[in-house]
Amino acid sequence: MGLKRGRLARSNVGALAPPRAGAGVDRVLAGRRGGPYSLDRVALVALLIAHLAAGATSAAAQGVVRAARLTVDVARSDVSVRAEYELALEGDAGFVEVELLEHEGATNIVVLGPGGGPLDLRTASGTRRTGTVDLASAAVGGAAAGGAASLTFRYDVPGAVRLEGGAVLVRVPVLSVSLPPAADAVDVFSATVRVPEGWTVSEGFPSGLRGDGLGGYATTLPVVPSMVSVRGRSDGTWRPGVNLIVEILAGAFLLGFALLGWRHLGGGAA
Amino acid sequence: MSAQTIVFVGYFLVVFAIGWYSLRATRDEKDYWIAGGELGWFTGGATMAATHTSAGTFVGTIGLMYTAGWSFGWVLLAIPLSYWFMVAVLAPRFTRQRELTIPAFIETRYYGKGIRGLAAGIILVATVVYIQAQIVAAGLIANTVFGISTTTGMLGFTAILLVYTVVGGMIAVVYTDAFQLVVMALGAFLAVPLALRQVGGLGGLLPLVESAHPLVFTWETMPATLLLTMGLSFFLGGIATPEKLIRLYAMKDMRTIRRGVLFTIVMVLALNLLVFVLSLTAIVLFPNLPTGDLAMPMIARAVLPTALGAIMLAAITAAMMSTVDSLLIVAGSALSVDIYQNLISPDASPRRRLVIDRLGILVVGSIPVALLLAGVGEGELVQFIVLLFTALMAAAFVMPVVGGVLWRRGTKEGAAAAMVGGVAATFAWEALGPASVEPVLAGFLASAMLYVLVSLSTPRPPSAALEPYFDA
Repeated sequence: MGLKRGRLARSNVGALAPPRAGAGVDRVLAGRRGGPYSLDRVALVALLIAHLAAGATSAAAQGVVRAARLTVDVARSDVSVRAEYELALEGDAGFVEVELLEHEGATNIVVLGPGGGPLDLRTASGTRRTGTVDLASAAVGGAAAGGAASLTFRYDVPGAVRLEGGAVLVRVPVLSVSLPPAADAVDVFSATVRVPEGWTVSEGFPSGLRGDGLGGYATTLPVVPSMVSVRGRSDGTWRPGVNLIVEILAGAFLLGFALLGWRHLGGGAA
Repeated sequence: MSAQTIVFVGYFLVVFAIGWYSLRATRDEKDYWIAGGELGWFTGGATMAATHTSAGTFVGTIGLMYTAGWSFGWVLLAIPLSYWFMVAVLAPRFTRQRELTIPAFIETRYYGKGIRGLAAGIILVATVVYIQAQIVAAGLIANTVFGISTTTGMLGFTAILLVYTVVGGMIAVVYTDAFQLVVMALGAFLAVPLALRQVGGLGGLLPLVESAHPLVFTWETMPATLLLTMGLSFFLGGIATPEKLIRLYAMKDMRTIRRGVLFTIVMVLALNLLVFVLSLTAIVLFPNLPTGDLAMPMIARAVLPTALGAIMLAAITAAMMSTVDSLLIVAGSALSVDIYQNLISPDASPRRRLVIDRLGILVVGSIPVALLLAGVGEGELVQFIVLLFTALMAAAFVMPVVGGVLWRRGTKEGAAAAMVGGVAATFAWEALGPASVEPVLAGFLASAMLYVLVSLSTPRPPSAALEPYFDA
């Protein structure tokens, strides 16, 4: 039996701006009833109204992210980021929204858009900043080619590298396009972090980093996260990360519990 | 073969080994259906907590908290309250005479085979809804772990489940449940500090959450009526869900039940608290998930170390399997024992009964995935499917079960009217009523009114039906 669809969602669609602030009820009720007014639609309607109020006449993009590739080059103190997005768009799209959730220590990041100029990112709430990219720009690759678009952003993150003794933590906010990942894609997001020669990396976020032996570490994920991070050593030594210690302890605990259970079951069956 | 696949396969081999080994302790039907009625407090409480916390908590609850924020968290306080009611008010009389199924209790208390068949039919329908939620969640996890499509994941989950259920029994289920609960609790317990570490600790988390989702700590994300009636749904559904009630029969005495349910309450509260913190970290780390139901799979995949994340996902999937195979056995027995053998063919041969038992499980297990493939129930948040299940169970069974052991005047006709009217009102509200009020309210009110009014207008129950529960 299907759950009823969309009645209350309509009554709450008036919550328009800011998009995220108006999204709560709608996301719940859209999820609850599978209603027509999903978060994306409310956000897009809000954006559209804001855009019209600002004198713009184009429409917000609808579609999906087919691939998001993040390349992070870590220097001794700063970080350079290149974010590439491949989008599949529906209809006549005028612009697409992007957002950046700035984490501790990495604020007021200047993002260069597809045209090479700085993007106008405005504070939406707290440390979350949003902006729009004009899809009609010549700098947007593939925009004219029937629903596909390629966007490339570049930005530096000052203060992203934290050194404490030999320990190093690199935390990089990810500029994301406000479209959902393609449903038929496996891992939409991929990131490669290149660290300076002599550094060792023991763990990161998203977990499952794989080293290429040349100072690069790669990982993938089905969705675009708000940040990537790596932890390691700058003095070339290797020490086990917290993740490895946790895994060993958890394995030992589970093994002990399984042995206890096995003895208990053996006693019961005897 | 990836490390995740190896962990997944290894984990299921361990679970199957425990289940297979436990089957050796199954000697008769009482062992098969209620684990001989001899469970201790840890195993009894763990199986109840594991049944409670399957997809509902680790996919559905975290998904809704991710979407709606803390307002939904308060609703969950109704759950320990329902367990308290179950152990303090219901269990002392309910367990005086132990049965093998809840419809069998209905037959004993309400002196009729027909009403037993009716109860079995309602369990069948509601179970289909609930299994849908588990299958959706399993499909999401399979998509995350193996990169296969959600549909393929749902089909694979169902196929494995149906094979496993054929050899399953209550003893096997409770021991695998206990193991899975420990793994889930360990995974959640370890995931919280690891997730907080990514966002600069609790002090770093809160401002980031408010930036990413400004309404998370407000009451504006969901209408108050929806929150209140969700709480009512959890409370009433917690009392009367058959797979939980049957576990009262499985524990050996009231002292064990009290300790077991206390253990359940502690575990459920602790797990929900951990899940709430994890939902906050998911808001920050994955602010644009296409569905909140992906929050936990993403945390397991991206926050936990690879092997532990895979174990966590395997535990959640396995717990879903435990929940579903328990439900399949309950539903299969409802179809074959309470309906076919009780109403249609009381003289069926043991061999034919066995065929019908297996056919019943096959049918009940296939319907939910068939409905999902047809697009019915697809795309709903898991938590809302769970809520519909609890609403149906509450509307159908709270009054007949609770009223049955606390009110002498409750009659067969009153119970039948309460079950039918409650379920009908629930479906009617789900289809036609405002979405800001959970259907449990209409279902329960209709059920309560019909139970009282029809009971008072029909002859008193015979003393033989009351004696097991009131005169001991």
